[in-house]
Amino acid sequence: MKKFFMTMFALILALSCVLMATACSSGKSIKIGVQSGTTAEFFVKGNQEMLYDGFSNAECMSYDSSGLAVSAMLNGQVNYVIVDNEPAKMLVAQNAGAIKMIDVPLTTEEYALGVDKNQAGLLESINTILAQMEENGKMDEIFEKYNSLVYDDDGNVIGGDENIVGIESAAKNNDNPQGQLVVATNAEFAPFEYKKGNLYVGIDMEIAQYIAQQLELELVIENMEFDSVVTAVGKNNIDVAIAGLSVTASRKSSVNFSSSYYKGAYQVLLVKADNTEFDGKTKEQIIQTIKNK
Amino acid sequence: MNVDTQNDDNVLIKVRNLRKSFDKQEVLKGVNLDVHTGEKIAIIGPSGCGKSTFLRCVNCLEDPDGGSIMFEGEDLADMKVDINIHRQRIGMVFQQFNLFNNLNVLDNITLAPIIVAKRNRKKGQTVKEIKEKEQEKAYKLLEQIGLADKAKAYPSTLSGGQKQRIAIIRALAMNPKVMLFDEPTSALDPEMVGEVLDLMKKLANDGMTMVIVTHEIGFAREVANKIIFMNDGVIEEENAPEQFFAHPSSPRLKEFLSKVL
Amino acid sequence: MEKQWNNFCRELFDNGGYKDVLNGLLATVEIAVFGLIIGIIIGTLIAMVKVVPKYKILPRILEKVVDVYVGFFRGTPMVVQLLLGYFVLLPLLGIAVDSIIVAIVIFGLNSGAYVSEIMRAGIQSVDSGQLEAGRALGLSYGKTMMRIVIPQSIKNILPTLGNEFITLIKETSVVSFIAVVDLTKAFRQIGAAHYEYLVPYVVLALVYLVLVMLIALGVKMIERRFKRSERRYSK
Repeated sequence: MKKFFMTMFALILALSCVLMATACSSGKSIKIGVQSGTTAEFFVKGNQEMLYDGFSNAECMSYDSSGLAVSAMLNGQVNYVIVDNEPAKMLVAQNAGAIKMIDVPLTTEEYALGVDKNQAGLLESINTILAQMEENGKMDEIFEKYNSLVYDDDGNVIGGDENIVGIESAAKNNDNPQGQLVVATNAEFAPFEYKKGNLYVGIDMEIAQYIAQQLELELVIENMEFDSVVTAVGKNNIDVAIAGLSVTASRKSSVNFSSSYYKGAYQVLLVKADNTEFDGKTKEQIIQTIKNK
Repeated sequence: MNVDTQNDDNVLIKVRNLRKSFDKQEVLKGVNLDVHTGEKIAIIGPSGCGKSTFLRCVNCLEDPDGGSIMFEGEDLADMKVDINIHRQRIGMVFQQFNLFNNLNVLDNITLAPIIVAKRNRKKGQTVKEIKEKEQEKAYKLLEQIGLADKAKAYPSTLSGGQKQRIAIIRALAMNPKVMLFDEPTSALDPEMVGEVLDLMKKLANDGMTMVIVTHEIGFAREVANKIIFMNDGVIEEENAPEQFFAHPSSPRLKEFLSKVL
Repeated sequence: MEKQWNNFCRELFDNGGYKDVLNGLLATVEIAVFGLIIGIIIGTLIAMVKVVPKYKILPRILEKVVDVYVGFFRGTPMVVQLLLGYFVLLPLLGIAVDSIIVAIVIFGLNSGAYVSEIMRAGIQSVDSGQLEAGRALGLSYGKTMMRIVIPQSIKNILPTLGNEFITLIKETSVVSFIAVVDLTKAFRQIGAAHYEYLVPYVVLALVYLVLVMLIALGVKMIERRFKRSERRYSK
């Protein structure tokens, strides 16, 4: 009996040592925070199809939202956060005292709507409406609204939101899917989509509302994890994904992309205290600097 | 009441006004008893009269609510007294034997003596020597009861009678000054009662001081030199066995004896 | 279906997904194993506080403290505890710790609350006569516990601890909330590459199932071992 316990104990101890050793030797020198399921994840880890080399020296830390990634960075859990330029601006505005942005785009991201592959007609009408919005200035008007928000030092909106009206999602009616436009989104991506109380606001949300109005459909917004937004399209009567979604080859296998309504880019956020010299560097130099960390 | 038939120097345990309640029910209502060295006291009484509780209070397995228990010059009822030291000198035998199930017979007997001997270790004495000495002692005790071949057996393999006899020598291995028996034969099959009573008789003949709570009236009459009748939390009558059975004075004792005899 | 399967295999083998899966598996096992070890240590301490007699003032205060602890960890979801630890407690303390360490500590604290109940029940299942017999021989409370009661309670505790380990393994699937790449997250990433989750999630479930079955088998073997050793005593 005693012998049995001793062997058990020794076994557990040995196992613990092995596990500890492997835990400590990940061999990564820095950590980069991203939003889970975004292409930034692949940008950090590397992906052949998207032609991303990745950062071999960096551990990719995936958070549910870029906001959480930034709060982890503020606590020193990650060194950099890589995030789309528009949310990046918003995050800097909200954490003005603590973080800064390297104002050089690292990638080019074409934002578009992901449309159910079985609804060719819907894709066509959405493209028509998007073209119409570019023409009649509606698109610029929407972007202008969100660019003119004014923040105080604590990141609270103190002005510029007079014209922003929250959008209410209609209740989903599975008996009459024809009468509704159901969009999937992840409302933690200001300024493209976020929530104000139980109402939805953001650039994407206003675009979705405009499209629904033009198509004379009721707008239903389904808020979910960003991971799931693309896969959800075509299931459970969900027609469209609109979530600051960049066009990628792999996503094209799941959805048909509309024409692009915005050109975004990934940018690097870092804490103010980080005094690595990034000023005046090109995109390639910035990436190399981070890789050398 | 002829409590002071023997002189006071011989008093080993002096219990005065012992009280104990469980929740609101008072089980012991002021018990007084002197146990003299060499004395064999049998406690009888109807079930629920508090005789087991009284015994368990003597070595503080139940903490008394009031009164005093003088043993070796200290009051065991005082919470400041290190009860563990005194318990080593007061052997206890339980109705349910309570052999340690995880230890074999030899370890059951030697566990406590080895711990005590280690604490009082003399200079130059190794742990191994202590163990060997105690084991030798345990074997001698086992031989006396004819169970030396069971030294390496585990309690689950023994009969009730064997268990109780080993429980008795486990207590003896501590060299106690007094032995308390809490209905030692009540949980035994009838055919095993004899072997346990025989061992207790032998102990009595060797001069051990014993306090026995029992239902075995015949055994009490034969072995005890004082019999106590407890009823409703007090000692109702105490006497030498001949007078006790021949001339019971309390009506409740008369009634009790008429039922059990 | 076949295309999905091919995509999955390509992600897993050609694009290095297996590395993530293996690391994820390691993280999952690591969090559960260390969590359980911490849990056993904390659980034992709590169980001691719970079973110790309450004559003195100190054990009574300790019991109150322990009640609050157990109440908190049993009364809130694991995810909330992880988020509190990572996004609230660490910033308050102003320290940066690896997220896997945070996960291990939180899992340890959480399972400590559950293990304490397992331990308490195991100790209380041992016949009170065993404790009394030890005390009657003059052994201290602690000595009697260590030499007599606890060895007997282990037989009851060990299989239940095995179940606690299985629970921990399964609960680790939420650690991606604090950016740990565990088994679940690794497969989610494979799915995210092509937005096809059917195959990855089915395989994920199978991996968990096999893992849990292996542990259950181990627990059973230990149990049988105990039964056998008991029978050996009875010769």
